[in-house]
Amino acid sequence: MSAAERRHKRLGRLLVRERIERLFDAESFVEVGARRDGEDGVIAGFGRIDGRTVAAYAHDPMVQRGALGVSGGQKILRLLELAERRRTPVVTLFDSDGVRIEEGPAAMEAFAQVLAATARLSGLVPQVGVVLGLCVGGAAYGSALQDVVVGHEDGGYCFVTGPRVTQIVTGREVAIDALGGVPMHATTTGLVHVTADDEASSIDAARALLAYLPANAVANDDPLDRVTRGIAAALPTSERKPYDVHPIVEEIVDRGSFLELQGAYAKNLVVGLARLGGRSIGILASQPLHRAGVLDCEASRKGARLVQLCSAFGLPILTLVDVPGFLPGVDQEQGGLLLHGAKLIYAYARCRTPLVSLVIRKVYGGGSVLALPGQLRLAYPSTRFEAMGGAAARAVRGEVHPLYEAAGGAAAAGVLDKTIHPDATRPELARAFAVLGAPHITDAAPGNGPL
Amino acid sequence: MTRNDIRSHVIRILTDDFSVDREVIEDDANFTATLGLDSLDVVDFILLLQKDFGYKAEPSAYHGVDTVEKLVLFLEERVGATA
Repeated sequence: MSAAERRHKRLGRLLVRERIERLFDAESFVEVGARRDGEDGVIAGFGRIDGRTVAAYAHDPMVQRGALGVSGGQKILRLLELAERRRTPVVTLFDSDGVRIEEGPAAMEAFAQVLAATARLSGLVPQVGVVLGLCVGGAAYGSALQDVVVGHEDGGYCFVTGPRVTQIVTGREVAIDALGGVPMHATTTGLVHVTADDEASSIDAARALLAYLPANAVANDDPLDRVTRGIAAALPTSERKPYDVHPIVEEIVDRGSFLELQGAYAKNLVVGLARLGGRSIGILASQPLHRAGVLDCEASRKGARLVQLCSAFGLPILTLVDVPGFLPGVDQEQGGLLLHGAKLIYAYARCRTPLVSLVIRKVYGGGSVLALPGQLRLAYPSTRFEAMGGAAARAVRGEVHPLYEAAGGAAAAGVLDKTIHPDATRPELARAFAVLGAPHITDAAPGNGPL
Repeated sequence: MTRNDIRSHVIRILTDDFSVDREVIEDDANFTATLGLDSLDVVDFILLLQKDFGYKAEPSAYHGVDTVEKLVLFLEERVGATA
């Protein structure tokens, strides 16, 4: 055993073949382009995950720290081409120092081709990346092109430029965790959607994600007519009081099926995948517990990417709305709120899958971008739907038109389709999605590019 | 654990887990300039130290700890060396 392998094992990390073994159902892996010497630093092939065929490649950190050269690049390209033809999801187990510098421009071209092939697959097959170790330069961009990224929070790093070069260029010493640690990406950039505290759990998370993508149905023993009593219990009596939307999401969807994405990033909007009656759906939910559930640059971008993901892979979307609007402020406006908000509007407008919105408590002003895309719009009885929030409206107009103040005013105006009781949320949503039917899928794959 | 025990274990990690030649490991040897660890090796080195010596510290705590001697003193404080 080499010193690097010994260190790797001592730190509880899996060797590359152990990672592949963990990813796939037992004895299902068929390798593509196997090399006896393993010198290309990539293991690639197909296997089964919960019975479905999936393609995967893994960088081998024991071979030049997983740096990719021409032969490794060709192997990945061949795998991605087969995945496209077979329409199989792709999992990438990232642990790569980037391009093999000693192979020069040819290796750079190989990496560029891998990135281009990854982008071309976007929206065609689900792509899940697992950042287990280093993810530098081209590999880091590879991770950013994935539909969903899982990160090992104690060992995963993604950055365009490593600490040493960063220090040379900027003259400042930088800590590797601040530069690109998985916790930083989970909280600050949103690159990492799901974190796990060891390698095995990270790989298991990728398996779990693929159970939702593309849209599929599983056996469900949670009745769709289950009375959702927990919702009323979770809602505060005062309309100004914050509450956590998580228990409401959990109460609505099939028990234990909610898989939150980007949970530590832009916490004012909760997004994730879940099941309703056994079918995969996407969820967006205002989170009044954080910044009152307001829409800001980050939340808009986060929501847009989830809508885009669901549209690409045929998942209907449920949006739970309790939103005071877009966040006012110079920082937000200069930070591109218009552009980020437009991403959300654009994603909903171009979405090919059924959209149902449920207004839990209020919709003020521009926050209507969450509620109005719903092809069917439901609301709880105490809903307020106003062009501007109460205090701001009074300041601007002196008084508020009775229509805006009246609970159910929006329903009266035909903006909301139905007022429902919280206890009956599951059957009402099931009926709404059933009425909207199958996703409107055309031949043109819309892609799920980075936002 | 004595200071010598700490030093011996640090040296063992460097030789066994990072293939550093024993001959170049002096008290004033700099981890990157002399011993050849790069910034990513340093991350692993810290993780192994924490695992073997049984302590946890923020990355910022290691600021300025760039030689074997400074590391031994740093670990002495963390794990309570005996004379």
